[in-house]
Amino acid sequence: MQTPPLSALFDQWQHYQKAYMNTWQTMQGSLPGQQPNNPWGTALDNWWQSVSAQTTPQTQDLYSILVQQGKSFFDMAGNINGSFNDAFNATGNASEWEDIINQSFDGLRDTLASGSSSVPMDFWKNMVGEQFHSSTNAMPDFLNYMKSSGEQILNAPGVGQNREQQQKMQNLVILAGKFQEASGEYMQVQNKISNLSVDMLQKRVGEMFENKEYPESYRAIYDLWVDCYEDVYAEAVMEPEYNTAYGNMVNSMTAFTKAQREMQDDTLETLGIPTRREVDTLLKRFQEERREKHKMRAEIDELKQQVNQLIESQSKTPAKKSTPVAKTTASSKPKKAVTASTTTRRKTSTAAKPKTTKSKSPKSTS
Amino acid sequence: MEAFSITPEKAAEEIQQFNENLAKGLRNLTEVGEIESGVSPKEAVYKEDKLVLYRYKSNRKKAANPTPLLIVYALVNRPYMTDIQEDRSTVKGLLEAGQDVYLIDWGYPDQADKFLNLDDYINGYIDRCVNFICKQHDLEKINLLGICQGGTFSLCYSAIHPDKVANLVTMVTPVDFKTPDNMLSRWLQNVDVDQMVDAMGNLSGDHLNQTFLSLKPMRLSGQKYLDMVNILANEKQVKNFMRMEKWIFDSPDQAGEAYREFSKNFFQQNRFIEGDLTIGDYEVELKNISMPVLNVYATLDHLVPPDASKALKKLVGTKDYEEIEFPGGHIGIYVSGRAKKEIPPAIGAWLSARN
Repeated sequence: MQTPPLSALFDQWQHYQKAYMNTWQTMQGSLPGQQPNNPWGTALDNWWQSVSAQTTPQTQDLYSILVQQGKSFFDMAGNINGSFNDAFNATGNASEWEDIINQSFDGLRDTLASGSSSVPMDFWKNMVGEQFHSSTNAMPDFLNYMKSSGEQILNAPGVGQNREQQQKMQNLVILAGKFQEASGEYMQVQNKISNLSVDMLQKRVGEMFENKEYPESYRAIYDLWVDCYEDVYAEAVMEPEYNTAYGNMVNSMTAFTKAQREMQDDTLETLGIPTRREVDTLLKRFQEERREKHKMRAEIDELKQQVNQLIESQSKTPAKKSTPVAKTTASSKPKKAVTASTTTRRKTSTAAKPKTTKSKSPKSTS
Repeated sequence: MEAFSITPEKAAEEIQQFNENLAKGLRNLTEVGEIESGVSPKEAVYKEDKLVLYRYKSNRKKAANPTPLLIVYALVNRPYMTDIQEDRSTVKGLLEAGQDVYLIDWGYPDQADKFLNLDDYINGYIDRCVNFICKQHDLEKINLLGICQGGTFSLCYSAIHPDKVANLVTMVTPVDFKTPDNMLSRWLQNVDVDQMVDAMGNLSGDHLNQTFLSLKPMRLSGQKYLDMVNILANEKQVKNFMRMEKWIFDSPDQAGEAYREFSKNFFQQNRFIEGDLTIGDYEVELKNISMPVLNVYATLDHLVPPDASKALKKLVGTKDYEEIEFPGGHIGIYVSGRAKKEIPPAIGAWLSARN
């Protein structure tokens, strides 16, 4: 049986990994007090680059996440563990021990603040960043000039034939500025959450050390970190400070997007290309027509049912003897058609009250 | 001083194990094949626009319960969660419990659907599906099972058209949107929803994905994938993971007007509780729900906290009201082994007892 090439790569890679790890351990053992980088991260990157081309796009996406998460996890846990090891082995006084620990956690705070950590900053940054950068990069040069010229230019009224267009552009720049400001404030709140989570981690690690309960694995350190983060996060995001910042960020983004799209429509209009505004008008009218159609169809169905019931009831009624003079009295008039049962097709239920002001088509009556 | 627990040797061993799992897992992942969307056989019996109404095929010749059951799922996410794998299928469990199961698949809205509002969904699509099923079975009423936002829709529908609903089941359904622990609702309070919809039209599925992941960002976007590395060597577990992963990120866009009305009426104004809710031409009052109600909720649900669902008890007009409390999460109530054993049989028994 032919060995698949991927299989051979795995086996080879594992063999070299083992040798690599053994060497790294030896080096680490011979260099006390130093914090070696985790070289396996580089090895992992190299391995992934060599095999990724042979995998499906779905696998590539997922494995990129796994590799990245793994590197971050081991990097973080490894650095903290290394610091604890050094602190534990420190022969100096208690403050030296404490300094080492504090340095390690300060390093973690810096890492999170810089955004080099993954979740949760990444997708908010991406969501905010993509929207903004793709929009502002499309701005003409003179808008950037206006931005850099300051508020005076932005608030100056437009003149001439292009007055309205100019004012729209000025407004767009102002909104871009507000969006930047709001997203900056939001990131500050996120940073605060990250710092609080590190404080909690530090506190919990301190308690563990006091109780002589030491983490048994890198994964245990990581899980502790996740618990701390989620606890702090769950509380912080319910606070008015977070919700105000979040609301401002989203609202400034949508205000900017709305203004930008209006300007895009203006441009398309001058080029004779259908605009979003026009398509929306058509879609709205179309949807209203479809609602009317459904209502009419429901009424037709109801009428059909009533007619059928009427025909049925008439066909069951025995024929009357004819009389020389037939007096038209109320009793000889055709019976009222039985309305459709309220349990079937009536649009107006006995429970819900229809709002008469909104009713668009006349109700059928029997 | 005692030695610190994680020695370099131990750390290297842990890293080595991680790498081995990655390598073995890659092999399994490349062989995982197509990830199916739902496992139970079904037939499309009615179509309208992007909506498809499915009827599930049972092994029984005839359902034990002659009153069919219509499942109304949320607009958010895809309904095959209820039928995600052979041994974790709520649909299959309901079929085994003797129910004749229909399900509405809302499809994937695009910008042409942006003006669909709640009236179109509730008094339009759902009502026409109910009419269709009634006609097929020559019945005047059917059973309704609403899930999450679909449960909110089902409550509105049942309040407006109580004459068409024999029994109502709600699962992990938000009723009170402003309980103290409702994160989503808290976030939406300061958002200008009108401006958002005016600017964007439909709400993209990606935005919703990010919002849901933000409820527990480190666990759902980080820790989960490290957990995954531990199961990569197991083909079956890998496939199960990939099914869930597919479903989690398979989020349709939300029709703009429906999103606007739902966000404002429920998340911001909490109209089931505060009153003054109208859907189209109809005023909606939950006290008009006169049919039997079974309310199923999950105690560890971080999306729809239990109190958000339990609020239904005081609002409905029926005297035949029961609750089932499940010890799990918003998704676990469908995919956990325990859920499969407990929930569909309980629902089936409850419905059959009221046949």
